[in-house]
Amino acid sequence: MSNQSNELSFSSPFDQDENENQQENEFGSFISSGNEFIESNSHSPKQMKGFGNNSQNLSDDLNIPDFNPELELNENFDPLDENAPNQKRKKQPFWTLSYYEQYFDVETGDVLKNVILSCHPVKGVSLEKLDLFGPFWVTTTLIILMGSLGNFSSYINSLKKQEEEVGDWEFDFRKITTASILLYSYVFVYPIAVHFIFKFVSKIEIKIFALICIFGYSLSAFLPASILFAVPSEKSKWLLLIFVSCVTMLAILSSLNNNYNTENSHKIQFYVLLGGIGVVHFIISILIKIWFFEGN
Amino acid sequence: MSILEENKIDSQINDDFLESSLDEPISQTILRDVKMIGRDLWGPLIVCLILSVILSSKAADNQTQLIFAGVFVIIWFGAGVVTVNALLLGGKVSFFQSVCVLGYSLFPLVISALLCIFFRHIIARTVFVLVGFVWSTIASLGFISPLIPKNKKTLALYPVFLFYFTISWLILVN
Repeated sequence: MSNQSNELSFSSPFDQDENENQQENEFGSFISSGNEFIESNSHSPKQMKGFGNNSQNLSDDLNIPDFNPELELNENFDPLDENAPNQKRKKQPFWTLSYYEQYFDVETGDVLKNVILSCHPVKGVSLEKLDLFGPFWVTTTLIILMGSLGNFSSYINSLKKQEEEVGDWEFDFRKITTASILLYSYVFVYPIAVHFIFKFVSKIEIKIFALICIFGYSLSAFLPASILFAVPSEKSKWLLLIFVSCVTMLAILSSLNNNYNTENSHKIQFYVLLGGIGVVHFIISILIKIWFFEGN
Repeated sequence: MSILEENKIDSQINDDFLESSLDEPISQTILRDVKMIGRDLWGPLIVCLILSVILSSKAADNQTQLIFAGVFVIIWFGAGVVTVNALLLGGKVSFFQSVCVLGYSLFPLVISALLCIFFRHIIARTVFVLVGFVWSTIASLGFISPLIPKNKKTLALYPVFLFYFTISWLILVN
């Protein structure tokens, strides 16, 4: 009889016949289902089968279909028609996670290019491929850097004072919390306000995610600046701050100007709003300096 | 062996197995299943609690609660954000599995933190934290790296590095 064997051989889920034969043997089906459990962790759609039972219904339920049979039968299928039922890339609502996948469609080179462009006073950030990865992680890195280096600069200051022992310097966790609130609102909440202000005042529609890109990447110049803020001289800190702030401000204004300055009727309002954005950016930079990198 | 003998051995194995899983009370089966899933999250939770307690014990008096809560938030939120980031970049990893791995990989840093309580000298602490950081990072990189498409590997792995860097630094300056 070919069904039963003494060896405890692990059957692979691909061996359909062998599995079905072993259905009669309870022990064999346990081995094959256990094997399927191990194999299913490799996340291949073909191997996602039900446990213990190789009946067609259960495995069909759990199988991710590789192709849609309806595609072949439906003669009216149009790949460009977004309303077609078989369209694979459906637009998800913005409260689902998969909606945001489109904003993570970047590669390392793209992110680095935008980081460098954010310091370019004439070109500004490229808005062809909107992404969320860059702004979010640049902001988070800056928060961590500011939290750590801000504490480091206060440590250096306490060393310079030499009034009491250095052990009196305390690590201030509030720097991290303040930094997160300040920077996350500047990059993610403030663009919403800017979007609506531009819409109502100068009738120009700027996508919120484009603004997130612009403001998020503009913070990337503050990363090396945070490191340079360790120099204890107050004068150098202010000079550094003004320099970085102006460069990034120009980059922000340039990218807005290059991409959205089309309407001829509302030009004055547009420029006034650009000025407002520049002022806000300058204020944020000053807050960064005052709250995190105090001088002696 | 004759066929009869083969059948006999097989049915004995059958009986042993059937006895073991069907005879135990249902409560035991359920408990075992819950433990299998829940056990995976207890580990990171304990790790997180230990770290929060250690880091908040040495803080300034008015900040003890803030640091405790802050470390908790950083660990769980950080692990979640790193995982979501990997998922959004197209990585094929399950959310809970990744959070668990990130939590478990914190264990070397817990050891560093414990050592740092006893050795307050700056150089010793730096060495301990550095070793813990490298160990933790390599441990989780080994898990996440194969699951990310090739052109986005750096993008997915940088947050992992950042996550452990933050925690290492929190331990160091404590």
